[in-house]
Amino acid sequence: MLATASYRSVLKKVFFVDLDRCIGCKSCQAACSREHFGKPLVFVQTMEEHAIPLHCQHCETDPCIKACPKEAIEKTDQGIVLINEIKCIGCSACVTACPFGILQLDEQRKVVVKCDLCKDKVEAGEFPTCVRTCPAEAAKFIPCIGCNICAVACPFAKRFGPLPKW
Amino acid sequence: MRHPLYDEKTKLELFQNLLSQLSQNRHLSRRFIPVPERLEGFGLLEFDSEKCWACAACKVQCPEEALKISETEKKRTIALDYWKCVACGECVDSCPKEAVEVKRIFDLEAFLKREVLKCVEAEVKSCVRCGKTIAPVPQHMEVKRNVSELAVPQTYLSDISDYCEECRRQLSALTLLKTRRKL
Repeated sequence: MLATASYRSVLKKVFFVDLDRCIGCKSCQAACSREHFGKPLVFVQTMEEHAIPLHCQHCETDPCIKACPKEAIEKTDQGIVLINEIKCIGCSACVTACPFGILQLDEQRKVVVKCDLCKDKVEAGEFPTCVRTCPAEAAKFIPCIGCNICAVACPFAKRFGPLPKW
Repeated sequence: MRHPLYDEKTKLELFQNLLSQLSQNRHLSRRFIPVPERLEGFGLLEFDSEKCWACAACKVQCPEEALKISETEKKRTIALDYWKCVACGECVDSCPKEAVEVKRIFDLEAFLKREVLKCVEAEVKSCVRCGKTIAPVPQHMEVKRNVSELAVPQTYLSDISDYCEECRRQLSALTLLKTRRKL
């Protein structure tokens, strides 16, 4: 459900969360913070008794790349949106731009951090850390079948109607 | 990493050096004193309040923690603890709008009284749902204008950009659930 349409055509595998299986244990959050300098880059939101893990969607129309004044955010050939930590100045412009509210400022390391899809691991043919850790096997890293449900569910998609009311 | 000039002894030595030069030049009657070329570590930051985003990148990058942010519900103020500043120029390099400048002058009064100089004041945009600060208004407006050049939906510009990060996360979770039920 949470897969993104952006790297459907270029990446063979996509990140996918089976919401029926997710038990909301936050293991992915703990594993992610261990992997990424003590800051979890996955957020497990509880909404109407459902646990919904949210992470960077590596959008097709990248608002964070457009917002960055120092051109510190780049998109790789695989469709992964990455922050260049040498160029990043921590001005939080991308945090303001992100429609999912995923990006956050790490004041200790003086840069903005976000999910990099465990790039090094994926390139070496392994799974991202959150996928390896998930005890319920809800997070998966599987080949995309192009069903386009993610594009329908995306609150940031072009054809989406009015937003739901709280 | 701390700037080498943080070492108090070094700074004191430099300061004595500066003072002895000043006494020779009879500059002491003025508030702002020109800093000699070869003396590093002394200067005065000047903020251009028209260009400044008040994004606090300078505060994040400052190695001496000399820049301070104070935030109320409506305003964000950036202030400079003049005693701590070593004029290293990190804030100048990090500024996205090139709004900071290091002047080679020295404010003796502020240094001796350990004054906290107010640099910039800007209004902040708050979340329409929970009231938490999203970003300062100048930054928020420019980011919104830049993003609107992309083919983004109207819901982003009119609704999503007015929420804070936490509310945006809740909104995407809710959207996901509602869409899932429809399918």
